[in-house]
Amino acid sequence: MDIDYPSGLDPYAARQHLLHHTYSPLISVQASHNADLHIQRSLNNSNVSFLQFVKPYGNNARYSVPGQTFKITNTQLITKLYPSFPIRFELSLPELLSITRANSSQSQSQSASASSAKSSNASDSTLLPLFSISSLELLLKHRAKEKSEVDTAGDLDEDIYLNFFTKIITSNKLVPFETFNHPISQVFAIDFHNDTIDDLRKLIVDFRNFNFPKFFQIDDLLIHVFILYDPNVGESKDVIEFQNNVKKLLSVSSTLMAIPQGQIDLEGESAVSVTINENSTIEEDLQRISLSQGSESLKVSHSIDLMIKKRLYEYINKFIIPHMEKKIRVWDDSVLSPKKSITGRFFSVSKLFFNNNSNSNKSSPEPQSSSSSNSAASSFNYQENYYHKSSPEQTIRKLADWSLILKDFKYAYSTYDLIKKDYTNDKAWVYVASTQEICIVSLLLAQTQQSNQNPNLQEDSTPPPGASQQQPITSAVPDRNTFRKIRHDIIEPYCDNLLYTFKSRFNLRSYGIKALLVFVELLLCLSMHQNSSWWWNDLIEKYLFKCIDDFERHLVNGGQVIRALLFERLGYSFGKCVYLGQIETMRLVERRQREVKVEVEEGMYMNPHKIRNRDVHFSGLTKYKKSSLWYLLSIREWLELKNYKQVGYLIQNIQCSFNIKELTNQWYDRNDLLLGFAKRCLIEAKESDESKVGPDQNDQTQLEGT
Amino acid sequence: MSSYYFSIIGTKDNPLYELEFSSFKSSSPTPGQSQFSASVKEILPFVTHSALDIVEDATWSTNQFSLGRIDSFYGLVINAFITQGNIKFLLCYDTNTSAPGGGSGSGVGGVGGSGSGAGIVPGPGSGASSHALSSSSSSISGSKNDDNSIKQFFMEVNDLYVKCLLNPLYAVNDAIISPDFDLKVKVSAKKYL
Repeated sequence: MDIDYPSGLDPYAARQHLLHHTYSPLISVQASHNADLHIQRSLNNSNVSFLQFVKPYGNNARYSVPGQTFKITNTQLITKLYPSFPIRFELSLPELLSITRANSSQSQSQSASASSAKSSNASDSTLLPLFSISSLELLLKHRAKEKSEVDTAGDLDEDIYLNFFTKIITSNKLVPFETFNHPISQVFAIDFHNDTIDDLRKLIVDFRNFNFPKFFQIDDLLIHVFILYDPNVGESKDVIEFQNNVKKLLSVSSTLMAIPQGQIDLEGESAVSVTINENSTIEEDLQRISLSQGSESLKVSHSIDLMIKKRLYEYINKFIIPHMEKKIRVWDDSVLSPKKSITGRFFSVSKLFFNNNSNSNKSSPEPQSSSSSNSAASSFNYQENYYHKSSPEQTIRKLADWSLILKDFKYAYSTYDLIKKDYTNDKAWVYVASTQEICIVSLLLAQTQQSNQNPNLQEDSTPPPGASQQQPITSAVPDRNTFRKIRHDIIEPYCDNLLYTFKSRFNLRSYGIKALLVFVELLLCLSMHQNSSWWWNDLIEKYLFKCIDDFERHLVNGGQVIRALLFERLGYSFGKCVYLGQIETMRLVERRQREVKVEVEEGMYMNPHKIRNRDVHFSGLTKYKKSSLWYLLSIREWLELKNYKQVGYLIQNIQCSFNIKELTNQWYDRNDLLLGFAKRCLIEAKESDESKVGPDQNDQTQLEGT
Repeated sequence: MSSYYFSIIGTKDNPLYELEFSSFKSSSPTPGQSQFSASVKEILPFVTHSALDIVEDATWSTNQFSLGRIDSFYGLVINAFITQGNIKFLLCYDTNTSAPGGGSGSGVGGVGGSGSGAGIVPGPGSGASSHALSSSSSSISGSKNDDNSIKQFFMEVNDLYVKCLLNPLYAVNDAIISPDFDLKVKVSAKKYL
């Protein structure tokens, strides 16, 4: 029997989602009008753009080429192979920025406190919340309702907590203090038949002339072209010549995509359906719902599906990963190593000691021009809260972010740790907070890197058989001192600090919430991975409480769905808090779930009234009762939302503590208590369902029959 | 004023006796009547039940019968006592007024519920602050007093329980329905709490 109790989102799945949706390369896509038309004709769908079409395929863990491997070499020249390396396709950078700008001007016009003197450029710098909590609640409510209506019994893939978590970590907001959402590559998609090289040149020139924010380094972008063509029209020779011309005239690399047009039967067997809400943010989802674009999936013919997967695989392996590796190596040599060297340290120390006078008014807002970045003064722009793109601080942050994306967590951690001091010296608080967050994240990611234990999970770090077995920290459990150091010297102080900065200094509650939820999931991973829940359980509890508290304060009506989900997670975390080895846990769960039947030998008498031995060796080593309480609270929220399906699902998770199969005479089934009430509600709902749904189902089967 | 929920838990985690009351020291329209809201009432037994995990854990590490303050849940604090026969006494009470200004969040627990009627909802700041094990250092002396009087109360109830156990017609884990026992518990509650 599997120890899958309580059931819920596996924290490793959450970790994987984190790597796929947050710490993955962002590719901005700009398609020409003709390219969009090309796609529309090929898919027989006039509502789709090239970006929409290509976006889901970025998740190559889901849409994979058979036998794909991604080879990544880190700065120590150690090569590892990974089964997937998802990328995120997003709108092109100017469009992303215009959305952000619109939002910021909106929020500024709403808040009267915004100073009117600010120029439009300055308005870019006001930091916006990561997501809107009320929108999130709205979306989740919708999702939960949708889920309760659609009758998919036992479909746990669409765990609603996972939905919630993914929405929180998915964002495409461009901010100065972290570079995960700074595009790594800019892709132009053009149609071979209708676009000329001059059109492409114009696209690129327009793009290059765009007024990017000062913290964004355009030189790091990999410019790439996707050339769409119809293999049934014209000769392939021409396309290759065109590709060569692009290379020769514009010195831009390109990928050919053969997308045949028309005459494809999308209803047939060969069609593949692709969900289009991959990686979508809360706002995008809400828009989709309010515009009621019913279908959440796209029909793509099998040949196109295969082709695009192959081409993207090629694009990632041949262009993106080498580009990132190259850049990381260059930065490591030119920026990081000098900083680490003795002279670099000496300079930074001398800067600290001898420049105090000229910088004594640091804390006062003092805009500094970017030209001062090379002078001894710090290059931090206090008014708008960013480092200039060419400053070493910004570059090192990018270096660390990119190496995190390439899954070199230890190197990333050491780099973050190094640059954090500089940010602190400059009093660049938002950078400090973000770096502290990512310090914890990279540390926990490094600690929870798994060896090849769970092949069906497709762990990010699982080397395929035959790969160099350079394993990071594996099953070797760190000793108590390591844990103590991680907890007391790193996680706790950093977390307190970053929450203070986000909440009090910048009023960015949503960033704090995101950080906390990420920590919770990673800590759950850690406690499961190393069976060390007694170290982390109270910390997880504390962080979840802080989250609940934050959500409560923000939503007047107290986001019920969010609260229910967080209660559920608390229940899960307590349920997994078992101070036992695996085998004992298995025995325990088995024993609790089954009624313990004492077999009486023949001819023997057994006194039924005798008090049985309690399972003393387990007593006090589990927290199932605590877990049940939280699940019950979550159940209460769902009961109020009348979502009986979710209640039915959650109630399974308290079966170690209570008999849930029927109404008993036990105390917990009393009429005036929550569990008894919930059970009665469930029974009622079931009865009304049966009486209601019965004829409906008959109708449906009849319809299907006709 | 504080409201109390006292329960005696048997060896099978089943409540043998339950009593809700409030402090007799304060002046209220009906002295002794508990002020828990409906939404709290429906989960009080579950809150005490969940504290059993902590009690079981604590029994391994102490040789005292009185375990003191062992758990807290959104402004509700739980004190525990364990008898020689592995019967647990649990007293669950709200700290809203007895520990003024406990912690940073002013400890206004959600007892009483937020607008949505959702019941035990973390009120502003109550969550994390009341959950920290070392909460409300400002009211240490008050809580120490409380702890002592609760301990006294537990001792007295233990005497009563043992007397009840001596009854040949009473078996372990049976519900205690004797009105006499009830009255005496109430008297000692009035005396100490």
